[in-house]
Amino acid sequence: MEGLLFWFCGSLLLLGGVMMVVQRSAVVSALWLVFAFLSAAGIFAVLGGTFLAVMQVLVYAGAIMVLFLFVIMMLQGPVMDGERRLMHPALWPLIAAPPAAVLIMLAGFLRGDRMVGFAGAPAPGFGSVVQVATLLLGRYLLAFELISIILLVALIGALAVGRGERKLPWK
Amino acid sequence: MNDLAIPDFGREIAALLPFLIVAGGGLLVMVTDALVKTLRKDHLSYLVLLVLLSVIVVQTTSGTPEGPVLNGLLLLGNFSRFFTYLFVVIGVLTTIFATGIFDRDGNYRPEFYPLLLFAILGMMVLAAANDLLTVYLGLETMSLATYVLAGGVRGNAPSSEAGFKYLMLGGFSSAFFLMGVAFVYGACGGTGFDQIAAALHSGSAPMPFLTLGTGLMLVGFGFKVAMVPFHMWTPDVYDGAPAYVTGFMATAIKAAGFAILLRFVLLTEPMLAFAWYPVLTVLAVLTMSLGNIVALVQGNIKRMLAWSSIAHAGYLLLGIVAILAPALGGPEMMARAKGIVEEGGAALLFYLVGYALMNLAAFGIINVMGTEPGVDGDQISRYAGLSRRQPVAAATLAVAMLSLAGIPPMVGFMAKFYIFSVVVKAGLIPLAIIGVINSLISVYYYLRVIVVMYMHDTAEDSYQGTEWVSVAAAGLLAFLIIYLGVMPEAFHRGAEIVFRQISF
Repeated sequence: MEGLLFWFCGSLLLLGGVMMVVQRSAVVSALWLVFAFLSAAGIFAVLGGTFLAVMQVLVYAGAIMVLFLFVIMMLQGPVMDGERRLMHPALWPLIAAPPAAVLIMLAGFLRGDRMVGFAGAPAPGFGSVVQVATLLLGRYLLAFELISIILLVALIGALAVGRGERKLPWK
Repeated sequence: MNDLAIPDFGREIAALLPFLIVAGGGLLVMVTDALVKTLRKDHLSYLVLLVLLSVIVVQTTSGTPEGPVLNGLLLLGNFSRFFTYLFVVIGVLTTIFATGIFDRDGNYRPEFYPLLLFAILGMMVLAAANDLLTVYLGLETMSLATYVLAGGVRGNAPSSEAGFKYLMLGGFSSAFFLMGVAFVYGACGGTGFDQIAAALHSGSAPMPFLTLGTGLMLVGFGFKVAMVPFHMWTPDVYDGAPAYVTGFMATAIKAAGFAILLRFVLLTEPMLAFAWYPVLTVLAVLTMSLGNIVALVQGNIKRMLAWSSIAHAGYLLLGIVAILAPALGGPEMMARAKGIVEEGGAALLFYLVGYALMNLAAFGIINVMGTEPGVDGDQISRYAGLSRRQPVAAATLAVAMLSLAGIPPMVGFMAKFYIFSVVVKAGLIPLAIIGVINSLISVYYYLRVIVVMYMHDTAEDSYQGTEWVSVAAAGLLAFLIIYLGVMPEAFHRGAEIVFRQISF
């Protein structure tokens, strides 16, 4: 059963990735990326990483992609040929169905209905918040802290690129 | 929750002190710039120099603990310490060069100093990394900071192009790298270098995934060290970025890239030497030859040095090929293997230091040749008659060029000599011949700069600058180039000791 679910989510993920790349419209691309993220969440769920799956949905599919879409829509480039056709409302349910299936499955996991067994029967508590936190602040403490530096660098970089040059005050 | 407890916390903190100083220094510089309004902005550079010098002092005096720290994510020892010194010294010179330009142009880039420190932090992590996770994070810290440094001159199209191109291609190469890490993780069951080594020795790792994974990782490394065929970005980025950043990229990033490439090749050598060896041999020959041949026709000194830096990556790869050769040879070769590996490693470290000295000296002079803010004086024709107007600057650039060409008594000659002699000892005579032919080709384009400076009539818009601090710093480098070229023995022996410590 979990094998079937894995291949299901995996092929959806691949589909999402390919569709994202071949789309001509940035908005549709971004929507396919959301689709891919949701499928990835499904894979995490199959593997028993429930916390990761939820975070994938909340942070990537939720927060980050909303930001992406905002930016794309605000910068709205020229509408390309075929964009309207691809966004035809009749296609929406088709796009929305698989992620919905994944989400329903996820909800099942979270409610604790063990309707499917975890792959390879992980230890109790596997993928829990406690375990993830213990790894982050224990074994991978250095990596965790380094990522904060990387984010800071990205932040400084974005600010630096985004604003004009300042004159030296004494010149 | 015993997993949270770090054994012997004091030791770990002491070991990490140089890293903490650089990271904390970056934050301090950033906050100082934002909060202290009365400060003259060039005082930030003194703060950066203070931070970097204190790293040297702490590292020299504290006798850093050796061995793995923080659950094996980092491996400290002579190797990581050697590279920390190198990065810090490059950082000091870059700060001096950059500040000279900021002062002259009246434009300052407040983000420059913290980003420089964070880039150095990333490189230090990279050289000390003992886990693929730390390798990746170090690589990204270093790269993200340099993307911004390269593209940060506003209103200057080449610089923006350089930053953007570097960002896009760099992001692409790091995706390849990450994919490779995932495959190696899958094959070996862990990201730690010791776990990988254990999996390789037990032979339990499946070969296809391992070769695929390391191949993809090679793309990532190859991009960082400007190895053909992942070199496409180099000329545009080196040309577009301001010269003080180019000098930093050409020396520090190359050193960091080769540090981790060397460690990773040695780590995976027991099982993958048969794959690394032919691939790296072909890439080394291609990298050297293409770099040197294209450099011949460049009229822009920064582009020329970019192609020359590709060529030098080829010479450095020869050193790695020589290290790998014994693993494939017969029993007679195995007996000499240890000696060759040690000598090869020492030659590589020596080359990296020599290369850093001569490239920084060259870029230090190119840096002050600009006429208007944000534009570097990069056409070789502008250097005509420089020897009469600015004898010190011209002499420094001449020494750097002679050294890059590998002419005795400069350090560049000794560096090439060590590499080629190891290649010969490893029995790879044809490779050594190709290397020597290549360095003969390179003499032409390096000497052309000297000819223009000393024998051509003064150009109309020739350099009139007064940035004596930068010129003096570059002059000091020129002195070191000659000093290390005349008396390389002590330093080379030191490099051997440094290298002997990394064992797998």
